[in-house]
Amino acid sequence: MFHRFANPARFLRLAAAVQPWAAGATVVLLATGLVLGLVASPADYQQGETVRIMYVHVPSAWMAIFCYSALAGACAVALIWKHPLAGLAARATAPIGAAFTFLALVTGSLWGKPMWGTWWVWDARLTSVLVLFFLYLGYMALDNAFDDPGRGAKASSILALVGFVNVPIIKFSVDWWNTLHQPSSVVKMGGPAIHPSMLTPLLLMGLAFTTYYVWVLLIRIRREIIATKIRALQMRQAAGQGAAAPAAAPAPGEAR
Amino acid sequence: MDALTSYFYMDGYAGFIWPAYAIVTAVLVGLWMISRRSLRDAERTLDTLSPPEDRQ
Repeated sequence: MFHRFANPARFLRLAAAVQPWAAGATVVLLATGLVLGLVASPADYQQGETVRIMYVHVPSAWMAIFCYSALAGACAVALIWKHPLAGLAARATAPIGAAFTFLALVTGSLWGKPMWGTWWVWDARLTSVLVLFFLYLGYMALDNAFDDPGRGAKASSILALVGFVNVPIIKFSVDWWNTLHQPSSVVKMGGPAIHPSMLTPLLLMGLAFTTYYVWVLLIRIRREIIATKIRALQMRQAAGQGAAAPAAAPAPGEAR
Repeated sequence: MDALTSYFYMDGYAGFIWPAYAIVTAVLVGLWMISRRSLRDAERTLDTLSPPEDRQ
């Protein structure tokens, strides 16, 4: 039974070493990115000061997609190779991805009102990101809907993998359909169509959100590993109590 | 209007820019705090189930 924890034990040591670095990097990158984005960078010639919303909106949207890809990848590894850590990583990633998706939607709405004249429009980009948010919520709900965590993880992993079809739809929605949302200006043919004075804070905030993800992910995976240990200990103790009871005639075997 | 007031005024877009930053801060700090508290609670439960020297 304990060989299953061998890998997570090694992971816990690695997590303890990486976590302070991820936390420090997040604080430094966020501080630099915020100063550059809110103070040093210029207002946009068309969008004026509202362009400053970009420094939180775009990294949130990047992370919403990145976290879902990580979630689907972890679910695939958990389903195919039954790697225990992958399942825990998927479960730990979902709330972080949902938070970033929520932030992309809300900050986008706050940017859309002054620039497009509307808080919301049912176009391809916005709707597909809303669907992504519901996929995260559905994954989390299904993951917790079963008494047996293993069955919940299997069902929710399949949902996450089927939902992955939405990721390219989000990415290419601005090219495939007419939409109010502008196409990509950072990752495009011929290099970014954005001045370095704005690109630098944007990339710094993107990096800060990535290290934040690593930081919080490690905390959440550590929590999931401990929760698994607690469940195993409780089952062993329950089995031990069953053995001590006078009615338990045949000697019970291993817990499970 | 002094320089600081004019900065926070953001050319009239203060009502969109600052709430965006406020909600990002609230959600990211909140998620970090919830995750950390959840880890602490789990560590405490594990300690009550098995003293640290018994583990591994």
